[in-house]
Amino acid sequence: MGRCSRPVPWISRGWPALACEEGLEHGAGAWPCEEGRGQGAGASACEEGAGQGAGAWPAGPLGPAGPDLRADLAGIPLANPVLVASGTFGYGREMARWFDLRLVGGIVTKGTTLAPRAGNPPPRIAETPAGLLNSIGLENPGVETVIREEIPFLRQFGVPIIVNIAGERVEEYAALAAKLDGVEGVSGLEVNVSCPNVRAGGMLFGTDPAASAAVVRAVRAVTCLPLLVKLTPNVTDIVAVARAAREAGADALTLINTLKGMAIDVRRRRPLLGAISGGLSGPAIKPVALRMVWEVAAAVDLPIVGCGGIMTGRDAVEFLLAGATVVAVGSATLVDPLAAPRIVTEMAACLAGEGFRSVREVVGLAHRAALEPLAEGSEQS
Amino acid sequence: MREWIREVGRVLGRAEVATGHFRLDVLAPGTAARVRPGQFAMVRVGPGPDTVGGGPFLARPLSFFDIDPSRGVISFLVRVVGEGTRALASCRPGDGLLLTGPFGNGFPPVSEGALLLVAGGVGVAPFPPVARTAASAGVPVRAVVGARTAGLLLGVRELQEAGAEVITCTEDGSQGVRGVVTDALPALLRESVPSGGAPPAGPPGGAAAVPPGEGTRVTVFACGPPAMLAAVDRLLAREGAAQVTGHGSAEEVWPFYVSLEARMGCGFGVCRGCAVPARGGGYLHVCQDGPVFPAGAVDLEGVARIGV
Repeated sequence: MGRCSRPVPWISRGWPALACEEGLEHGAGAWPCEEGRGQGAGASACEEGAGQGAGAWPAGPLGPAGPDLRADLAGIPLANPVLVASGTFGYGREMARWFDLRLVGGIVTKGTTLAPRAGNPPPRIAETPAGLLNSIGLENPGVETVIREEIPFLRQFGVPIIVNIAGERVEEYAALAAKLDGVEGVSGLEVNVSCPNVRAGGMLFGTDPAASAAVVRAVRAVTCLPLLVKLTPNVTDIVAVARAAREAGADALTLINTLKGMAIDVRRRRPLLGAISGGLSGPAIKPVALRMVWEVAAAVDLPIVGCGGIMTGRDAVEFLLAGATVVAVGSATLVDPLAAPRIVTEMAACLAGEGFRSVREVVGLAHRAALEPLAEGSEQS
Repeated sequence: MREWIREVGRVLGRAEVATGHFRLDVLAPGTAARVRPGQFAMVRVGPGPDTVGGGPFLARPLSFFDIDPSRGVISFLVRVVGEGTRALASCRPGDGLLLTGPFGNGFPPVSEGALLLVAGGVGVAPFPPVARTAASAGVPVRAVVGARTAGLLLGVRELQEAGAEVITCTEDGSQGVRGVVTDALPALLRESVPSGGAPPAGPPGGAAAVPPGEGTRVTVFACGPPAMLAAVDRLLAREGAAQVTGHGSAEEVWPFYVSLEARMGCGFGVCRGCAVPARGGGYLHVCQDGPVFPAGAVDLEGVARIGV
């Protein structure tokens, strides 16, 4: 389907040594080639239970005895498979005050539109059991400002940047992609056809396979950047949308975005959110996300960014086993700003504890186990 | 030293200071060393950042009711309004709380003139540290504290200990001025207009505080229900026009700042959830632009319509 050819075998790239000490200065880290891996100061074997203390960073997940955390996301080489999800990390400025951004595998920016957006009327946040509803409404400064001010800030960290783009019309997505194509530091685009919080766009595309494909095709036509397509769970058959996105030229799929929901303020006898409904995220949606990752991984041959309620390294490993190539941490960052680097460490410990030597060998493993009874002739009706 | 910290605080003490209102004293040295008066922390029940289930998912933004860096202790004043605040109010000594912060701008330092604090209900929470800082800089501090009834007056003792003269108002007249805070304000404002008027008395027995006199510039800080903030704003504008013709706008006469609440996701700017309407359109964010705003920057009537 007219894909851009990108001969980027991940193994040919140099890999950053993960420096895990809090005091690491930006830009001070070397970017050694493969041989240098694991020899950085402070990098040692991952330990069970590491990473619990605030402030003191545990041993590096890329230590000589730790599992190989590197991942390849549609040609984007990642030092580890933990991305941060769009809308929970801003453009990294505030997060850079919490930790060295090089500790995460990649950064997916806040949803970005052509023109600046002020966002939805408040209240925009509501607590739910094991999660939250949001109706931010794609508040963002617009793509021009993002290119001029936010990307240059983010790229100094050298971490892959994936810009999440959203629009109300197909042409807007294409215009966004054209503007971002070739911008230094942008490693990929995440096409957001799944925002539940804007009236005339986003999810309206994502719930319709043909409309999703139209958006992806339009974006594909103007850029060779790796294209992630972020899917909405608010559909009957997510596999149909996933297939359509693949046929239209998607290089990877991010799933899932939030589930549409609402809350009522009893005392005021009205919807709690200013926009009436919002998107549900957090641990409450993890089972739904896992099931959808599972279904798409079984049916569509594309790398998957698994996302939805990941709070711990163990949660992340569940997504890998279900078929996600990498994961993204979202709402966890809101309640624990150090969640993403913590999850990197916990994931390494979990994989090591389970006897794995690399992330790659874990991806989709649970599918094989699920098929084993079939191989033994015990097929069920 | 990093400006923000994530730390597990230990509850040292919990006291029900009024029906449905609790004071929590928390050992949190990292936070205590960083706080400026008027900032807030995000407080989550449970010691672990990955705690799921059993407690509310989101942390709650809480003002610092007391700050004692030498002991490493901070205090919060919690009004039980829902699940999250109920969980916080149920903490026992020894329990862990996940704290992130301190966030927000805090109140601007006041080093001259006089300071008038206006508090409604649990809105008194950020004021004792503000009063202490101003009083120790030699600025006379008065605080108008309002509640429905005498038993619900909060923070009076703490404000007095911080060096403030406290004027109480109760809607049922059970203590102090009968009515709401805006019923007590006009007299206080007239005493302190720059064109003259009798200087108000200093705090009872207050040695450091000098009564504001003619020409004293009075700064007003308010925190409480949005409807109260809007009412104070209207009152200041009206009094300014009536009393100080020739002295410019009311804002120039009485610099007026409000501290706002909002439903928050993160507390540090990434979720964009805590938007409040700005005066003149658009939104401001309580966690980054506030929680303290010059009253003129915010559409207080709009905030009151939204509620919290």
